[in-house]
Amino acid sequence: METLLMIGLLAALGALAVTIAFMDDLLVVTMLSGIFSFTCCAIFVLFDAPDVAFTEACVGAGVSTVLTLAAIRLTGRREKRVGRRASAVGLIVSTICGLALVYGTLELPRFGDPLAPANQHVAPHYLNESAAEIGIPNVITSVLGSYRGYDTMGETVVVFTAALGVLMLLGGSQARPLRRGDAPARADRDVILRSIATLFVPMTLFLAPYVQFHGAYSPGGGFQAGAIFGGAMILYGLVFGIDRLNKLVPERVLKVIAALGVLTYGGTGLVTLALGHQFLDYDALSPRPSGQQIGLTAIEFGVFMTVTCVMILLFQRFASRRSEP
Amino acid sequence: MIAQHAAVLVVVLPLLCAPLVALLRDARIAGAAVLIIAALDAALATLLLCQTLDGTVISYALGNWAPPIGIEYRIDLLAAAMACLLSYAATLVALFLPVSLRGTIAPGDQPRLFAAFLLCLAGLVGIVVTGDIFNVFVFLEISSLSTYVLIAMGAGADRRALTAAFDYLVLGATGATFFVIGIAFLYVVTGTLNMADLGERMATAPKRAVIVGSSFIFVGIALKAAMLPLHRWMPNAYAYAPAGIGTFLAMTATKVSIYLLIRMSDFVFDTPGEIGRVNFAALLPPIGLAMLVAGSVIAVTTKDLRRLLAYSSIANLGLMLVALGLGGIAGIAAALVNLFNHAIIKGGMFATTAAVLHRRGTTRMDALAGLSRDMPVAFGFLVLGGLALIGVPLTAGFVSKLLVVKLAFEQANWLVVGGVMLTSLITVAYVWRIVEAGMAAPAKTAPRHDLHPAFLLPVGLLGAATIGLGIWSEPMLTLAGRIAAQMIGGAP
Repeated sequence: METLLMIGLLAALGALAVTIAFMDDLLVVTMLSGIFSFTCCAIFVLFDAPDVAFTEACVGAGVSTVLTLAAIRLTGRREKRVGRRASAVGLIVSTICGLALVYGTLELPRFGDPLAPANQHVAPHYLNESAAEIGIPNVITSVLGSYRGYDTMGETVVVFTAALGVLMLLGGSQARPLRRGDAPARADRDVILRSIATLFVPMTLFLAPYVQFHGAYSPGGGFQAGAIFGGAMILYGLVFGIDRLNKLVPERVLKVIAALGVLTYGGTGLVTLALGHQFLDYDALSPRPSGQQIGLTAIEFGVFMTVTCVMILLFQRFASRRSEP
Repeated sequence: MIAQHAAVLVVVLPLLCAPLVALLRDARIAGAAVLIIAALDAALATLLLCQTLDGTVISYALGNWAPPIGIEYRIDLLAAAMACLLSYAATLVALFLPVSLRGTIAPGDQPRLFAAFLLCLAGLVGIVVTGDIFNVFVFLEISSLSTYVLIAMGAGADRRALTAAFDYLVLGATGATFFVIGIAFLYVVTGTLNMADLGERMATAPKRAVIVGSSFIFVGIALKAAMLPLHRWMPNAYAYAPAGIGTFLAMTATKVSIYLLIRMSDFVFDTPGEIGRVNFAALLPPIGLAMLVAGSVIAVTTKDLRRLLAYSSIANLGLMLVALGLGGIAGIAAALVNLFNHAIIKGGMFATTAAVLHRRGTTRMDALAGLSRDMPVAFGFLVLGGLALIGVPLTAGFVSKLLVVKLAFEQANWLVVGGVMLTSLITVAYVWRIVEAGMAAPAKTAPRHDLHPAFLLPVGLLGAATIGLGIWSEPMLTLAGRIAAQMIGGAP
């Protein structure tokens, strides 16, 4: 059954990819990309990777679709064809790459094989020792936050860099005055939309802290919680108007909190340095495993701050921009 | 304590200062802050170089998890020398960056640009000091993302910067994807991400996956290193980025990719001069020769000084690849001498070009007329750099070219000898174009108005190094020899 499901989902992915490549209408492409992401989500769940599926659902299917829509609003719905439709060289190169990937996977160990090298070397340590060393049941969180916490700090910086880039490229200090006062959903007409949003936004906002703090026990953590919280705020902005969102969470506040998130993460590392331990060695904060838990809570909070604020910032910058005539 | 933690501080210092700088409001304070941070970073890198000069390898376990459980920073002489190159380049550029940005970017935007510059520095240094292949990818992302933004900020002076940044974004993201797919293959068959560990476990891994994985990594790096035929993003990126940023990128960005190539060929795949079990080393000399000739020929035909220098950089990258492909300790050493010398020579030329751009607002060849009269000092440094590019004796360029030719001569590789000689002749042609353009009579005589003082120190230092390393080449040769010997594991 699972195999059949997997084959069906993969076939859907393939069909979606080909359709996207040949579509002219960017609005449809955006919607199809959203479906593509959701299909990926389903596949991740089948692979028992709910953490990844979670993130893909929030960011891939949700936020990035909204951001692409906002960009299309600014540029135009139709793709302008320049030059040839498809080049032979491009086709050949992608075929070669695809064949190379297939060739490489032929010899790989089967999915879930307990004797596979990936399940023999460092993975057993994570699975067996995490409970004693970190003291939390969700091994994914201990790998992301502690064993490979430095990589996660890097990823947080990547998110921050993205926000920095959008702030610099879209406006910056010479930002145009906000003139789009009318909410996309009108109070007299879109009753259903507004009522559902009124119901959903607070519920989603409440889900975020749950995902954040339950990350030790179940799939979740700062990235997911941040994306959910940011997504809820974006939904609010979509339905009730960008002006109200801008008033609720002004950009200057978001900028400061986004930077503070990175500093919270890095600062945790600096504190452990100051206490005479290695960078990001949470044992400095308190003996095992409570020190690890304090450290994880701190860095996950840093990630949450940065991701939430960057999500909202990106949406605000795109939505506040007047479309060029 | 600083000495003990310098390995991680050299990355974390610019990384964590960047958000703070981004929040500053005053462009002047932000500019000064960047200079101080870059200089401190250079001091940390120098400290690392001193610690590793005797052959010690610093291993720093992040989070105190012993590798391969956790991420390891592993700094040998090569990593320390690269960290020095990167942080010195950032310091020199930070000296004139605020001046060169004036007028093209609103003061309110400048702190954010400085922050992106620090992130770029942190990302590049993070790539060279780490011993973990996935960590390489994370920091590659940080440096690439900030580079895209930095290039796009050239739009204040020339709107073409936007398309240049977009081209680089698409190609750079493709390169990063190839890199991470390659990492995934290697992880599946070895179960580790630590490069030293990976190298050991590679021997028993399934062959096909290793070949495909290393091929993908190679293509990813090739894109980032602007190897022919994947070089399309590079000339525009260098030419339309804000002048200071272009200088920094010319000194560092592709050099880090060459570093990765050297690191991967030895560290991960453990067979010097041969990457994986497909012999990538055999690919390097033909690619390198093609870049050498094509880059030089296109440089002769360009209409803009910065594009000319960018194509010349492609030619010089080709020379490094040729040296690397010749193999052995001498090959790696020659490639490294080329890498460092070229960073100095080209850095000096780009910095001088930034000074010219600051005064004239353009670097088109036909707008350079009268340069020798209005800006004699700048013109002098351009000519000096040009002579070094040709490989005239008593300049650093002579030393680096001589090494490659000597090596090819010993191996009786006449194609390489001929190629290098031929391109030296073509180089004479494009350097002459600069001289000719600068000596041409101007349409109207302008008052003498030389380099802005902010440029004097970086341009002067790089120029002095160009001559200094040409006359007294011993330290550079010794350093490169020691690094290469350490990489291959023989006696220095």
